[in-house]
Amino acid sequence: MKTLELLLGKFIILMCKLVDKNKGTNLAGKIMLKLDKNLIKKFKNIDYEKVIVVTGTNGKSTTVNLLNHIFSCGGKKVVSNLEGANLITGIATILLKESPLNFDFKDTYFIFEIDERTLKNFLKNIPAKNLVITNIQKDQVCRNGDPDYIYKIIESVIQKDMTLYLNNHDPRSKILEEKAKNVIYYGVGKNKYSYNKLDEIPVTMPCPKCHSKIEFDYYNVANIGSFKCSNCGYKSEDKVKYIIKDIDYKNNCFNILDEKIVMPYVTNFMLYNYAACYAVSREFKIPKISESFSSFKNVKGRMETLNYNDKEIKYIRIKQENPETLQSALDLVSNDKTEKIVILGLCLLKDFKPYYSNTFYSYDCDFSKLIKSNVKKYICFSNVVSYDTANRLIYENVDRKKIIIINNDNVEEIMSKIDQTKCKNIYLITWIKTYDEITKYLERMN
Amino acid sequence: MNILYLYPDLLNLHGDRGNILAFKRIGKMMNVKVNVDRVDCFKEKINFNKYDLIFISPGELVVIEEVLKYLKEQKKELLEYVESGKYLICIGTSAAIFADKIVKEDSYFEGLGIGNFDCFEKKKIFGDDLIFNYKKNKVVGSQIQMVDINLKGENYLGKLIYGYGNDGNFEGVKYKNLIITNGLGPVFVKNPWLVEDIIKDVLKDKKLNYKKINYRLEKKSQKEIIQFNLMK
Repeated sequence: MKTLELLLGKFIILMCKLVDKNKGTNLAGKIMLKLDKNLIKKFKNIDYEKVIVVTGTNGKSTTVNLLNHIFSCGGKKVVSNLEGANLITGIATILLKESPLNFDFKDTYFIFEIDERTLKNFLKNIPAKNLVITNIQKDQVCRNGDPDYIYKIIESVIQKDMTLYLNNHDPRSKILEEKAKNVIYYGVGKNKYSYNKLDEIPVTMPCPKCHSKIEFDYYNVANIGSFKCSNCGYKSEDKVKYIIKDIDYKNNCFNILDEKIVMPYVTNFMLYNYAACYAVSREFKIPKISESFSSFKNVKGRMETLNYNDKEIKYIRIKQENPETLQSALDLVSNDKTEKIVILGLCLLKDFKPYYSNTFYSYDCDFSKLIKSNVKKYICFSNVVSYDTANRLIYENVDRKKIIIINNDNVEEIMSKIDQTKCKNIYLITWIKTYDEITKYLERMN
Repeated sequence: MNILYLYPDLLNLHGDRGNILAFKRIGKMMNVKVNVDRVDCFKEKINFNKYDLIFISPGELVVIEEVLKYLKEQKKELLEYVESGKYLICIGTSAAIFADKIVKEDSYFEGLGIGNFDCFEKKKIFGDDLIFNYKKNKVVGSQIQMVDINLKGENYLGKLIYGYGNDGNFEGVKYKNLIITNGLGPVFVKNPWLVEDIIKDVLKDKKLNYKKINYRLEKKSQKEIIQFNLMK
């Protein structure tokens, strides 16, 4: 690679940051790849054994951010796409940004979050030897259709000489164990928040091997838990080296292998990410792992607390078209037995055109625990789909009088309804765009 | 009224268990006890005589190929069930179960051949809302199109008002009371008056006594979705 190419790339990145510090995570890579499609292959001394790719439906960003933190605190040189630009243009941008002027990445670890659909292209350019798969779940159905579609994409890129880090409790991704020689499992043990489905007409999933019914002994997170096939014997491993146990939710700590880990956030849906990070860090013999966990600050916008007048609004992010993130949010709220208001905004799908009104993923979720957890009022908001959201609650026998419907995305109206309530304990479950609008609104108010 | 929910764990893509909840809920409002049985296991033999309605949710094509191996063993009874005019409702990709042929990129397999249509696996998945006319109703839902339905006759379920339907022209398949639709939503939650019509038809020999059902929320939802889509 010529120095001029590299400098041009760095210049574009600088200009983007000057215009908007939150943007430009893809642009430099996009432009430079158009000028030179072999750009990525021209960086020197990238040791593929030191490249760790994190892919899967949920938890990639948390896993990459924590791994980057652990490796950095352990004294390693690390390059990661921490801002979540997980397409090939984003990877090119980050390499341009972090590359020394001699293009030499000697002794550097690379930890990348890669979108499942970009895996093939990425691995063509950088044949990583380590692949962490968080889980394979229903997600972006308007693009991906069904989990089998994503499974096939990931399966097609696995090489025998890769090391796979697999979630022992996810039936759809654990099956990839057949594809590589070296497999390391991670998981979370049974704990006080483990559960069985209580909803009417519970459903599980087909076995990825023989397509018979998968049965769960318990769930820790939606569709993740100790499982076995009712027919062919495919199941979670009984003994797993990297398993989180003895979880103390009050003091935010847990045990794994021979260490006690204290962690700022101990929620069930993040524990699998932590177990994966611990497994990778131990396998790579990174020092000071437990200290790194203690000092970790998670990616913003997953779970946040906003103070509004005398009220506390606890935001839990969901990904639309993704029942597992909605279920995790519902489970988290239902663990709080104090009186509360729940604001639910499923919103129109606007990631890709045509925009459409999908709320059907909410029927994959069990609302029964939420309904029994002392909710005083529900506020259902959104353009177009607020009535469907309210109807979901009606189907759980919530009294219509307890539901306020706001048929738009107007933040002022949502905040006005919050003002009208005496309850100070508010939960907001919606996608990141509405949360961003609310935080901007509160900043303006202040 | 007796409903059979067929392979709910195996064919389970888009929250369609909500359709069964709709039948239970509307049935209760009609003072009708709706019993729901499940067949979860391939090896379990299906007692078609027991049921007034069979429901099949959408599933992955790879699972549908497996399902067909077992349903073909009871094809004769299934065909008799459909020919007798009993209800069988099938959503989304599971239409492939009843197709003559299901054509994939590099292969094909045969369905049960009930309904006179073929299915073609799409290279690119398509998601959007779906609005169509069925009898005197506007039916509102969404669709995630992984499989196109190619009718061989005029046996469509409804005419499209908005969306893609089977292949951009018509929506669904109807043969006697075999109803196949691409509509998600769940479609019977969003259009509960269809449930009322079906229950009335199933129990037409019985006198049903119930208060008129208020569909205010669903009607408001329908109005919003129609307006939103016709303005696109």
